[in-house]
Amino acid sequence: MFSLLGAEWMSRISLSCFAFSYAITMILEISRIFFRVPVRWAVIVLITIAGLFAQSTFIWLKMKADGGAAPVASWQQWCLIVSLGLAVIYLIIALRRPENAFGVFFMPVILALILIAMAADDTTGFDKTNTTTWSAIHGFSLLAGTISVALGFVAGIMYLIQAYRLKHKLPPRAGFRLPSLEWLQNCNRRTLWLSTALLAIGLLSGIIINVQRHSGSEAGIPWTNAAIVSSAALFLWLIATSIFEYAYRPARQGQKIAYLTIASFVFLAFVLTFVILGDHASNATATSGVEVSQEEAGT
Amino acid sequence: MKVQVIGCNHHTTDIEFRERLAFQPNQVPDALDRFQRMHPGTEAVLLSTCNRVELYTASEKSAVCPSHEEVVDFFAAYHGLNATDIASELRQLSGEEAIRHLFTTAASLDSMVVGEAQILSQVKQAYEMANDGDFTGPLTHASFQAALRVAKRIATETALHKRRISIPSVAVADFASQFFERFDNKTILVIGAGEMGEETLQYLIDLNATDIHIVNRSIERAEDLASRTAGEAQPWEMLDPLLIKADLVVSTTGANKPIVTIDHYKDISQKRFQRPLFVLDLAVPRDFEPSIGDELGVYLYSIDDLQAVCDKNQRARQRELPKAQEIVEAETAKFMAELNHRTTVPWVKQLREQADSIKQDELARLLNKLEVLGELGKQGRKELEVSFDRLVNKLLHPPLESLRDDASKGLEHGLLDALKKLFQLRE
Repeated sequence: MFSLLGAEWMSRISLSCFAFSYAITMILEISRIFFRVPVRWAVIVLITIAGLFAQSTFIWLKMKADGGAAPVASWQQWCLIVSLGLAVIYLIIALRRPENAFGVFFMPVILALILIAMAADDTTGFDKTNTTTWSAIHGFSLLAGTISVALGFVAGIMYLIQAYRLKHKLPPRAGFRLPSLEWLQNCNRRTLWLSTALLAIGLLSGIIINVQRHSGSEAGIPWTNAAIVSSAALFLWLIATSIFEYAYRPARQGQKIAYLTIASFVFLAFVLTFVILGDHASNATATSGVEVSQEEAGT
Repeated sequence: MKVQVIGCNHHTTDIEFRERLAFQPNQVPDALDRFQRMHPGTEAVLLSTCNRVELYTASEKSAVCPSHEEVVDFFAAYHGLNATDIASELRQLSGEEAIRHLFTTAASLDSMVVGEAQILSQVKQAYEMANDGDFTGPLTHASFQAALRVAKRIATETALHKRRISIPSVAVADFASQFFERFDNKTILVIGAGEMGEETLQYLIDLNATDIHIVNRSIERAEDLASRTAGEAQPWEMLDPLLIKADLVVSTTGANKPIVTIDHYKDISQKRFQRPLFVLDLAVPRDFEPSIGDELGVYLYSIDDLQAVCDKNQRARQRELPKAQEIVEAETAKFMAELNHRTTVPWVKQLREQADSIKQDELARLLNKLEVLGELGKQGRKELEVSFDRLVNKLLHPPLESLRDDASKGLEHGLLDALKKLFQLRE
């Protein structure tokens, strides 16, 4: 099948191929502010689909090259999967609400993740020697949680812009309408709850893995590891914001929820920086005595 | 072949005149029936709106098409008016001008409020009514279908219809709809029973708003408005509880000072738990103290805020006009070229038949002679027939080509008339 699809042609797909597609999508979405073009929406959808195809193929080929164990074998692939998830969500929303310019807000986040992927070292992959069900849950929930936090961030930014526009009585631009405040607020609330739940699952599964390792023959990650501490702090932050949102009625309204989701994203960015700099879950860590599964990438 | 329009509109006549000439929808079939009995063989479509009364007529034979005087007489007779009183007010446009006018009208470029959507449905309705009564024909079909297509093209390719220009429509479509995703689960409070409030309420009802409460100092007026719309009349004492419960407020009272002050609202705000409130204060003087708009979660719009947007949208529509007019010009030229080409078709057909008849006669004569001489085989007969055909085609090709070119330019060089005279073609 690989040969049927033209392996040579597909193997030439690089990060810049789909980054270019998404950049074009972003430019076309921004152009909605300035002028009308009848076929633009169809072009946006087609280019995004082309980008998604290229990105999926790229990840699949990488996975093949890595022995086909799991899609997330390095920080580069982790960033690519998160950006792929966001691009898929963008496409679904864009198809359902073609009148709204979601790409202006989604694409910078997607492109930033691809840029991080370009900069990330792909040679040092995650440890693949010890994969368990717990480690799969750990990796998947943290990955999905990250997508959810990023989604909340995008919705939060859109909410603040829309709220500013409405507060200052600025009419919507013909081709550049944002979703309603109500829709954005609901989106913010849902992503806040979802990301809290997913990060909780990710953190708890990570704790279970580490406890198992500490109690067994393998060496676990020290509990004082910066990645673990910052992840726990992010989780506590999300728990606090969720309780705040649930118990304090004004917090459910308007801009507060948008600020909370944006703050969560900033918090997540810090945590990821700690995690990446701390080389959490890498082969390098494993060889120095701390063996961690590949899916622990998120903490 | 002739297409023309005779009538009046808001540019040239006042409303009193148009009222005298207007046709109610139920009168239109009868009027067209009477008209066609007076002018058999004429296609007719009657467009009667509050801004225009126009009778479009067309006929394959120009002589059959009624004159300005005849149409004036028809209008006068139908409405019991004196023809001399109305004759000078009814203008006539023919051919290209009539087509351009129809396209401009259908695309709402000739409307009082440029870009308003109603005229297109009125043109469509007028055409359908004429169709139902069998008063239309190939020319009116072609021109009205083209007009609907042009209007659609302008709506798609320009932003002329995108921007709303009435205060209630801007309030609901440009702001309330940007605030709420849906209206069927929202509590809407209407304070006062003013006209603007009613119109705004109508837009909200169109968006499925159901939980509507109308508060007015006079409960009778609130009940009256509720009976006309879909709301529930409430006594004035319910104002505060409803302000706490409401998601959207439309206020249009005639009070000469604010009915909701900032201190008053702060009490209400505490009980709302900062739940966002969208307020359309359409009253003059304003019903809500402006500083309420600075409160967290309050989005307060006064009539001035909305009027500014309406004016801006109106200017934006004006900017789209040249683009729309360009489309009308291009489509008119295209339509006229097709129409002119169509005009030449019967004459070309007659010319070809005439030439063919001559060819057949001459060919028959020659074949008879050659057969008698025994010099013609089966193959030779076929060659002769082909040769005669080629001869006729080659002779006719240059004049017909020139005629086609002339038709695409509006038959302005009179080649069709020349052709008729040169080849003695007759209707």
